[in-house]
Amino acid sequence: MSPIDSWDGATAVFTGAGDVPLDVLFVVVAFAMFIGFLVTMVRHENHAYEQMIAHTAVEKGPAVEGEPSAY
Amino acid sequence: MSPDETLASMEGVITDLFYWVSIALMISIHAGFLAYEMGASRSKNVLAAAMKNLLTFAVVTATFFFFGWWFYNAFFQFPVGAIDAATAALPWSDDMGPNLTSVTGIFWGAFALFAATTGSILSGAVLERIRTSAFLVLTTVLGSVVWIIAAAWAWHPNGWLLTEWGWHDFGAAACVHLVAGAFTLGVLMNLGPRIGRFVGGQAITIRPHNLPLTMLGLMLIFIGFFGFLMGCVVYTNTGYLSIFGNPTTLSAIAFSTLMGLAGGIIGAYVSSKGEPFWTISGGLAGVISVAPGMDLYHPALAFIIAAVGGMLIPHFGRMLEKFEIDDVVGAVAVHGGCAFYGLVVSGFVLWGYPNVPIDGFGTPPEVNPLGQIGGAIVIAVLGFVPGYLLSLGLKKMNMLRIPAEVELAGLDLSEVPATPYPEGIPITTLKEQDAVLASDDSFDPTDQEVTV
Repeated sequence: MSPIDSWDGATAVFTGAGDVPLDVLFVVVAFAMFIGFLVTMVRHENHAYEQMIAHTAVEKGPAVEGEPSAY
Repeated sequence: MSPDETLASMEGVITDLFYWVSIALMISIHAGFLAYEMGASRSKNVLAAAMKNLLTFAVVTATFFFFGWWFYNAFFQFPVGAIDAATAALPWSDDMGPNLTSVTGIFWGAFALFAATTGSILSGAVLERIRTSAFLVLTTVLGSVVWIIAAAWAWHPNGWLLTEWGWHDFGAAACVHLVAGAFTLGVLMNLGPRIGRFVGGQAITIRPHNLPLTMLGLMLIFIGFFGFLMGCVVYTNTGYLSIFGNPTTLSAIAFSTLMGLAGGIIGAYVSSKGEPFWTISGGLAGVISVAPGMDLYHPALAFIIAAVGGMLIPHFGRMLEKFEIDDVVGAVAVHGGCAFYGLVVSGFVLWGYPNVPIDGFGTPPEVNPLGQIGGAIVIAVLGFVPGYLLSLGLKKMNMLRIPAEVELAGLDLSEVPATPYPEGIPITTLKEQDAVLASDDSFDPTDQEVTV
């Protein structure tokens, strides 16, 4: 992915510099990961709230160190 | 390399270093917000508050790369007059990555920290009852869209508030503090108070679980302010400029910052009768109050303006309580209230200061009250409307607030898989009207009674 053959007169040196479609792809994938994070968080919240209201453990198995006991 | 080339190269190196230090110092603002909000929470929400702060930093920084920086470069003329010039700020341009001839990254970094700071102002106000996911959506919009449009209008060398109205706001009172305070007010109106905060129309104090931690957090924010204000200065190889192009010095900012801190703390102490939360918040109130003119104020005048700002914040806070608005950390009062007050005052105190000519725009009007007050109103509306509408939309989708059962039990028992104090913490309880007990689980408190 190197955009340069030599450091003489180099300007933009990042991976994919000058290759706009590739750079756009990097941005789109990174942004999709960001959206994925938000979706994961919403699902985690919904699950955690439902479990708490149902008086059941949020996570299966024994509590790890520092984890609160099942509500 | 010729002497001129050497000088140009050194300017790039020093510019990089100057804002690098600014960024590092500004991160202590986030350490401060984190400590402040953990302390202000009840012990059942401590880690949720911490996670919210940590994630604010992450989401605002990332989205500020994806689209925030572009807004700054695209929107400085009202409403969208410069979109063509903003292609260099798109996240796939040659300037938006390692580039041996560009210092864009260091400016982007400083602005990203400003963005995260603005997003964090919302964080404390909504503690203990907002869904973290909803908060992150809101803080992303505030930090990577709303604030940066406000900055493009009110904190840009060619921003329209400067070129058209003669605007002056050295320390970003409007685009950081006022816009965040107004946005926060809009969110709080839809979010509602914590359970038990208001009973029968009466405000009930919900005590922070660790006020000393809150106070330490604010001290960290004070440190961070020196990085923040360092980032408000434009470094050149011929001296420092404000972002509006007038010459200034870090010496000027040292006078105003320290006298602002001092005045705000003293003013808030007097007004709150020594209440620790408001007193230390007074430091913040003082700096925000003097921010618009801190490159120009006489230090004693800065002290006076800051002291009045500090005196005002408890009153702002009580006024909000009358409308049953639960602002846990006083963000609307301190950031929104003092920024608006400081901008109004600056219109009169700075009246007549000339602005410098701008290539392509001529010479802007001199600083004047109508420009400062009008600009403050514009920025307040710019903050309030999206905050209110977006939170209203989230509320309609039932995604804004956590369920009541979870709120009563605490977020640390549900969505955070850890506990902050597994061995418990000592508590201080009121036994009866004329006695105070200091107790924990390890000794008999009846032996330790202290009569007051």
